[in-house]
Amino acid sequence: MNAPDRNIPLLRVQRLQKHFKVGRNAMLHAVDDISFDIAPGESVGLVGESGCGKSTLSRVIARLADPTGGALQFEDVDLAAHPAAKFARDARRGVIQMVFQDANDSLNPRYTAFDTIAESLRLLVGMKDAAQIKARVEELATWVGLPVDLLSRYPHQLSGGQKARVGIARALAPSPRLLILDEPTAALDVSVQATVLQLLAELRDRLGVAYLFVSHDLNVVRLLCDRVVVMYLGKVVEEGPAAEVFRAPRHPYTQALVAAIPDPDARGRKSARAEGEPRSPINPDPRACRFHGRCPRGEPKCELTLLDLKEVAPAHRVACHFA
Amino acid sequence: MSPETIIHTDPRAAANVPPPLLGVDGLSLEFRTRSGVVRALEDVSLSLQKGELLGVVGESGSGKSVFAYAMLGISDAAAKITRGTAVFDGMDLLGATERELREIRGREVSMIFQSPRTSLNPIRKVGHQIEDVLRRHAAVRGQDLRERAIDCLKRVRIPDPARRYEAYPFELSGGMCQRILIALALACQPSLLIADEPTTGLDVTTQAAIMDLIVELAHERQMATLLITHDLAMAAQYCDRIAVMHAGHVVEVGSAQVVLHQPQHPYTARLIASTPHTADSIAAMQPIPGSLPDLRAARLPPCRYSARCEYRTERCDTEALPAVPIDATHSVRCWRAAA
Repeated sequence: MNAPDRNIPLLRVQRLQKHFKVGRNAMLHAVDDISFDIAPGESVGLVGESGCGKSTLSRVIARLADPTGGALQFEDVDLAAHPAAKFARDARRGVIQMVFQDANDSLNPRYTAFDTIAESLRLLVGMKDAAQIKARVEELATWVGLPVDLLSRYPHQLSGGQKARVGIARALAPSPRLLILDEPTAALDVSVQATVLQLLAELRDRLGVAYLFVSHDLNVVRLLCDRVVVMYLGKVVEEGPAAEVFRAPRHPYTQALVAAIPDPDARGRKSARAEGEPRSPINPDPRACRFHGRCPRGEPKCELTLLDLKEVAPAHRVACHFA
Repeated sequence: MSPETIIHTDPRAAANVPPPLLGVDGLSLEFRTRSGVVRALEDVSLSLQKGELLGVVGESGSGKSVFAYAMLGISDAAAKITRGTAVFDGMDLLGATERELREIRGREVSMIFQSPRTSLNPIRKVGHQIEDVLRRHAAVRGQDLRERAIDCLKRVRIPDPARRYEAYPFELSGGMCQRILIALALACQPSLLIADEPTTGLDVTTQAAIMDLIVELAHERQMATLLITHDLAMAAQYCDRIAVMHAGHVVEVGSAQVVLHQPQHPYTARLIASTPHTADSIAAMQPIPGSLPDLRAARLPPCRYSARCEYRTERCDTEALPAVPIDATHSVRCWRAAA
């Protein structure tokens, strides 16, 4: 593995905030005051249930949406200061790339696999020479295990796994330093999922690219990521080494999440479930823990003081009175 | 074939097991399409006892949903059942008229479909949708209707059921819509529930809560459940038995623990090794090579897994093989296991 210096963060997310105005005096707090780092070459898993803000967060980090507060320090520049609309043509666009959830929806149906990858080279790398583009597209296809003779095909002529490979090759084309993967295997069959995961692990080791891996398949995150960030209703509730968080989760929400992973050995055992529905993300009580009400351990104080993340073990932070 | 013969072909007949609630024997189904005949199911035999949970697992395209639809008589117009029998509680499902089937659908046999949002009527209050079922099948009238509908919502643990009765599907979360669908399916206390990927697209926490609910209700009412899923770990956690399907064949059936820990069919073993839940590392995951065969092929080999199988022999491509019983409850369709 290329050994990048892991002490200097590649990306530093600082008090990042994304609020949406949803009505008069109504603000939806999709991302609320979130801070974490991604080191060069590191794989960070971002987990949480739908509606927790993980997709909004990844879109803000990919600079597809503008934050309403906070900073996004990428190496030595604050990307949050560059409006998303302009960033699309920024020279740094290529350093953060995204692999989208559903390869069916994210590939242009009228582009061949070759066109899709080449477009990224032309627009983001500024490559013009046709022979050079062809050589690079073929190199990328080989990296992602896509047979070169399939490059002339359109998305509808490719299988789900092949489309996923095209999406990965397209994202890798401008040699990104950070790849945001939004549920890249969710639409794939189990048999194909394993190959794509192995490909992602191999590419990471070969290219030294950092991953922000957004997923609700916790088993995949456990296997692929070094660190995991757990979100609940716009807030990070726990963050730490993936192996440790899955083995011994500290936040009651993470505990419920881990207990919910299908496990044949848990047969007949009654696990603690997070009962009820999440609170509304609109104008949340700034003092109350967002998990209060569903939390099996909730006490009156949880509604009065919202804790910040505090370190409970090296590099392991939790926001809970009981951690 | 009469119901009696089915009992004989069931390996458990010797153990004096009562006739199954649902007994399917040698079912073959094909789709006659413009691009050829698709052999979607071949020689499928499965049985389900009262109160039992059977998981049907396999990749997409393995025929799991086709099988479920055939049981309810709601297959596509191009589908044609060419062989086999299916008997539900003494009734011949395949020979039944549409009218007879309509009487048991929703009352005796219910189904929970994938994607809860698209299976509900978007412009009708959920409470009214439940009332429709009760009116049609349980002959509930007047004031009682509303009460019974709210009761159904309560039973699937929907908080504040009287308020949710008035809600339209778009006002509810995905997990909540799935609960409504379960409430609909269970409104008339069916003896068989078919759940087709009931938790796909839901969060793990919601998935766990929905599965807990299905299992609890199944036990409470001795309801038999056919759980169709691609998630082997989930099937093993919640089901009593598992049937593994591949390309229209049932390749292995057995108790959940045995299938998971001592799989006999090479496909089952691969399926287990390819899921992230069993693996200790990404490298330890073993993808299943190849893909499902083209089910239109005029000459499909007797074993439809042979092209993907590491143990393939000449016999696999030439000699037809029925399911081989390993013991009273475990059977496998593979020459290697038969040897």
